[in-house]
Amino acid sequence: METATHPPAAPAAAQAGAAAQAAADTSGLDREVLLAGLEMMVRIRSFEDRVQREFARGEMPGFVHTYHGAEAVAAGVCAHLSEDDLITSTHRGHGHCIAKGCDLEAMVAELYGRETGLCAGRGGSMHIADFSRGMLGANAIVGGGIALATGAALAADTLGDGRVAVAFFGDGAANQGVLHESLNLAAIWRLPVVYVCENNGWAESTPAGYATSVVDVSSRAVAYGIVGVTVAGDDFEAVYTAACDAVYRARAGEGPTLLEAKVARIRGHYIGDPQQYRPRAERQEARRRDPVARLVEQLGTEAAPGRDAVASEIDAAFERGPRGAWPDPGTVERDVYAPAASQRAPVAAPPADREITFLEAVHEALRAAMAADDSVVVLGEDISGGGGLGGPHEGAMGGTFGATRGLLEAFGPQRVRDTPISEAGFVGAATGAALAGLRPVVDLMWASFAPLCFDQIFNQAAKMRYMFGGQTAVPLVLRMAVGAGLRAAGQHSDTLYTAFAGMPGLKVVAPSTPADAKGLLLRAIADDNPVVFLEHMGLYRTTGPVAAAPYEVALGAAACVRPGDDVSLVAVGECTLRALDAAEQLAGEGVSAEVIDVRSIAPLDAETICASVARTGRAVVVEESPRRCGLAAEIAAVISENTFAALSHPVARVTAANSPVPFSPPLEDAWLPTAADILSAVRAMA
Amino acid sequence: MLELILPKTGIYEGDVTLIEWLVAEGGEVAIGDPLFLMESEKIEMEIESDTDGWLHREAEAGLEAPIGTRIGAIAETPDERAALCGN
Ligand SMILES: Cc1ncc(C[n+]2csc(CCOP(=O)(O)OP(=O)(O)O)c2C)c(N)n1
Repeated sequence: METATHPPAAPAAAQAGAAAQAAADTSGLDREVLLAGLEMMVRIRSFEDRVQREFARGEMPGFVHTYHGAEAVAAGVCAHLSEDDLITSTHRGHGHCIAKGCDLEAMVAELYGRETGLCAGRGGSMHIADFSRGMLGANAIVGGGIALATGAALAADTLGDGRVAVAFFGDGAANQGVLHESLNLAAIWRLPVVYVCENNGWAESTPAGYATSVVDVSSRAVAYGIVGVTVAGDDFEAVYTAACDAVYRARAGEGPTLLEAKVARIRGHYIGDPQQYRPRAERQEARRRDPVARLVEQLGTEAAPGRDAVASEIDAAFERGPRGAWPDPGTVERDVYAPAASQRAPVAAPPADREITFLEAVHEALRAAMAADDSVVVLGEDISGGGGLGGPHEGAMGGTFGATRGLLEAFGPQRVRDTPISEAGFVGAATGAALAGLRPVVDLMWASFAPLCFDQIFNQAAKMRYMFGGQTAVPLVLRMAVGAGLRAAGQHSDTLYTAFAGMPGLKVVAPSTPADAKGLLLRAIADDNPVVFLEHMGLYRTTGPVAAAPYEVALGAAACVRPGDDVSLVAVGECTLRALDAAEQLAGEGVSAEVIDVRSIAPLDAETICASVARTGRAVVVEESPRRCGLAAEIAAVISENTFAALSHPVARVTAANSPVPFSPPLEDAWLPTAADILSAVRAMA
Repeated sequence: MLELILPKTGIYEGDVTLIEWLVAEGGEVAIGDPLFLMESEKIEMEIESDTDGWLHREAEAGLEAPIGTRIGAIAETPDERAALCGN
């Protein structure tokens, strides 16, 4: 098969003249290079043969996808990477691990779910990772690693440390939107990343010829103005040479490459796949495209170097790996979160010296965090505005609400990046950047847009630390505007409190005062976990006393904002203002209401909330989600479980209606939880 | 010689059934040739050979047994196969 380049003579290819030169230098590779490549391929093949055999015996839990047929790709690409370079992988990731230098015994132990595994048995085959080798994880979400690698490259580019990132993915993933978002991002930012599509002709049982609109996935590079190359993936030399160009291009600051390697899936989709959907002749043909056999033949039959050493390495790994200790069931909730801000106590707040708005408080926190730590970057749509135009145009927007205005001028375009409208792409990239040395603060505009990047939030950012056995932290903040009342209607008003709070691994914060907004945001940025920071639109213009100097407010701590004895109003976010309003009215009726501002939805400060209710004996939970399965239900359950004996009445909930947020003012007003609703709930307990 | 077992083929971990041999005792097989039919969780599937060689059968069709149960072997030579049968 000939190497095809897309676009054939486009400007990007012309700019890559130096890379083309590098290609010329590697043609007719040294025998040493080929022998080293073969040794790596044999290591991968022998490992996978053994996995297949052991899996059949039934002791290996779950299911496993082997790398048979693509060995030349991992070997040929990773030969150009150092330990510091970063890769993301797929459900078919053993080959990538091995080529990136992961320890075989720890890999085997992981496949058997042992505490001694690379991920302490939390990940298994489909979520195997080794951060010490720059292997940022297999990914059981098809396409899940692509945006992460883009972000790792963003970190390398921002930090200027010369690292390169590689995303491996299959032809199935080539039809995921996040690939297209990522290619565009990497192209406009000229990121040092290589996208390697291992096209084995099948996505599970779906042939690429049916599911993919083009013959060469690499031809899609044209649409993004980047270089696309297709090579025969069973030809080590071809892969090695093309990867050399692509990695060179990345390191030289010439931007991304889409490198497609056409390989054969020699085995089933997973071990044991009966493959009824696949003609026998096509399977036989696939077996003939064996990259290991091809390279052995190319080098001469005696030439499989170190075969014996590899065999004993693998025997030892399979001898010891499965004998590792099982994880202790008592540790099931270990490593969901990194220690809070590296266990440093929050910086205490000096006395508040002036009044500013909630929005100004958010801005001050961002500015202070960026000034204190170069690794803090902000990105999102329209956060500066006028991207690249220069003069009075650039930076003029400063975010939809103006929270990021002026940051571009203060910190420059490397650290303040406007993004295209690609939520999955840039939230995934921010997550990848957080794995690779940055502390990104993403402005997602509205929480209602979060479903566009739920995979990146839920499957990637939130789960990574746990799935990888505590190997990594994900210091990421996702800022979002939430809340109804501004006539923004159905798709710009959700709080999504419950959705975020239900994702283990996320911290979720909803401040109600300017002082808390500043202190909690600074603490969220200092925290090593992904934090969802929810800013209620109804609060942006409210004012309050805020210290000018930077300070932090601890996450996971509720605040008693009005003491009282007769009833506890447990309020979330902007509802705290309604609860305070209700408490004032109740005081006029001789009822002393205590108001607890929950502040942190996850982790929830059950102690403070329950201590209040245990004292007052009555609780009304007030929050702005639709009632069914809303956050109020969870808080009410926590209160009931812990204070049942002290309760004189069932816990009451004041919530939004069970509908999307309506537009028409009388309807929206009816949808919202109000002070009047709180008063009725309290009066019903008399 | 490669041991032949009733293989795990997915997430299912219960007993499986050897439905039918697809190659006669002593038959020569190539990698990828169907060896036997197996039923796992009511799904029938052909199990193919992972290697080239000569089949030796040790279990009868109809055997219902746990995953991992040995049912035969693929010998590297006809002589090795004969030795496995004891003739
Ligand atoms: C988002 C998502 N959709 C579907 C699946 C189920 N699934 C797992 S692997 C796979 C096929 C992937 O094909 P491809 O990307 O070509 O990789 P290959 O398996 O061929 O290596 C599918 C559909 C999944 N894991 N994730």
